[in-house]
Amino acid sequence: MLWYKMWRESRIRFAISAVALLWMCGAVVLLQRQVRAHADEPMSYAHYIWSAVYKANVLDLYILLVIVLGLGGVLQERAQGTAGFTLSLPVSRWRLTGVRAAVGFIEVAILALLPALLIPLLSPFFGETFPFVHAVQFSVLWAGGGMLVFALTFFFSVVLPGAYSPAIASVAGLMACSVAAGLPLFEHHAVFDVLQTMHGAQLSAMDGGTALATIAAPLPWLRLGLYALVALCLVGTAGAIVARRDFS
Amino acid sequence: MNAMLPLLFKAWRESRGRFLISVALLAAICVFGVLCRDSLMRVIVPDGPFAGDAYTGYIYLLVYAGKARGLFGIMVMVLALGGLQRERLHGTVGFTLALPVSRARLVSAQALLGLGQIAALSALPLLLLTVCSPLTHVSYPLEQMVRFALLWFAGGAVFFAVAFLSAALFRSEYTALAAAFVFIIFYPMALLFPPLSRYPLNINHIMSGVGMPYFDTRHALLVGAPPWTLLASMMVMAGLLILLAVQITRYRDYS
Repeated sequence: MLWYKMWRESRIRFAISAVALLWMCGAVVLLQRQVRAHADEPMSYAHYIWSAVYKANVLDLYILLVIVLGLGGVLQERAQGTAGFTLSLPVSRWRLTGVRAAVGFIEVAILALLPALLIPLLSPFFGETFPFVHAVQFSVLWAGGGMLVFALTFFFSVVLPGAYSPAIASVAGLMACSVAAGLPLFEHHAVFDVLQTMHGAQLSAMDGGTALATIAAPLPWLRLGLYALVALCLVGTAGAIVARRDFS
Repeated sequence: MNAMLPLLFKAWRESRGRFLISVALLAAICVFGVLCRDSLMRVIVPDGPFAGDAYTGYIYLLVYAGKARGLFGIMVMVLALGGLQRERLHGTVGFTLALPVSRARLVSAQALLGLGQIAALSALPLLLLTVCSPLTHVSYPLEQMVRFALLWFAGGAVFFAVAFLSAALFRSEYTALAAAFVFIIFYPMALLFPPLSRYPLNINHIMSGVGMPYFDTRHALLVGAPPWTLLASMMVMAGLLILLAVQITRYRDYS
């Protein structure tokens, strides 16, 4: 029942996110000939998909939507006057937090998988191919980074009052992270650049900088594992805060 | 006008937290960008892509076409959210609607204050760069900052109006936020389809000058007369969207 409650709370956001991502991926495939014709340099279809979906617009959309999925929780319910009902359910606060996080993680993973399902399926209709295995590799990166972004917003939703403050804090945090990752102090520690990891640039074997010939490198499992660990720590901390907080 | 001031104050009380966070974040980027320019310039303009002054190109890429502009777009949308739909969720909408003013006036005050906040955010880089740049013995042309502030205000007004309409349409505050975020990314993409692709309609490009006749890409400077027609069209578009939101609010049942 708890799972159903959490699903009911987030399903419209999830549905909007899924439709938006599918539409964006579809538009990218649909526009491929036109955009590639106007590109400064010749661009292979695979490289075009990478730069339009996995590196730029669609990734930005995915991150923003994951942030929106991370919003909510008992602190926000208090403002709406429904926190009492939720807290009076015969389950522990830890379980409430855990189930909400788990539903969120599943939604984030499904959203990450959508481009991998649509793009390889749609490409043959336009005389192109994009290997499903490669698409799934990028989805794994998205899911790994997305879980960290979700956990960050989830954590901010527990500590910051107001409906929008956690979203602003998450956007600001990611931007700060991205700028800091470029500074000399951190530039040799790729793990700090979550967005770069999600781009998957390290996976692409470029041919003369313009063509994504093959996906050559293995996935950065250590980095993804670290992100998962940090995400779990953030959710755990959020759970501990909810368990001790007075919501009256 | 007498009733407008308390309504503006109410709208300010509701959005001041978001506004102050937006000011703080935008200020942090500008101040941090100027004070740490030696380190950041190596990251942001490593090959010196512009022919003119390196600092001008750096500020352009960091603030007017970079992270600050992206953040500005998101903040402006977040500022527009809230309103009666949110109050309905919080159970306070009855008190607000019982005030002896029309709904149109209530919503107009919120929109008016939001536009004022956008104007303040648009002018913030101008203020901070003017103050901070001389501290590190560099300068950025004042005239460029004024022009960019104008472009930001007009572009910001359109983004604000879209989110404002979204907040009037959707019952859940998070759905409104998701819809506004989808618009930020969806809209430039939709402009790639003909016949829209023939016109300079991308607000992000209008705000940063990318690919626009009034922008000199080599020197990263705005040139010629400001695009008054474009700016006026954007303000009209924002006005129409806000008007639509007002009309929706007037006839909506909040029970």
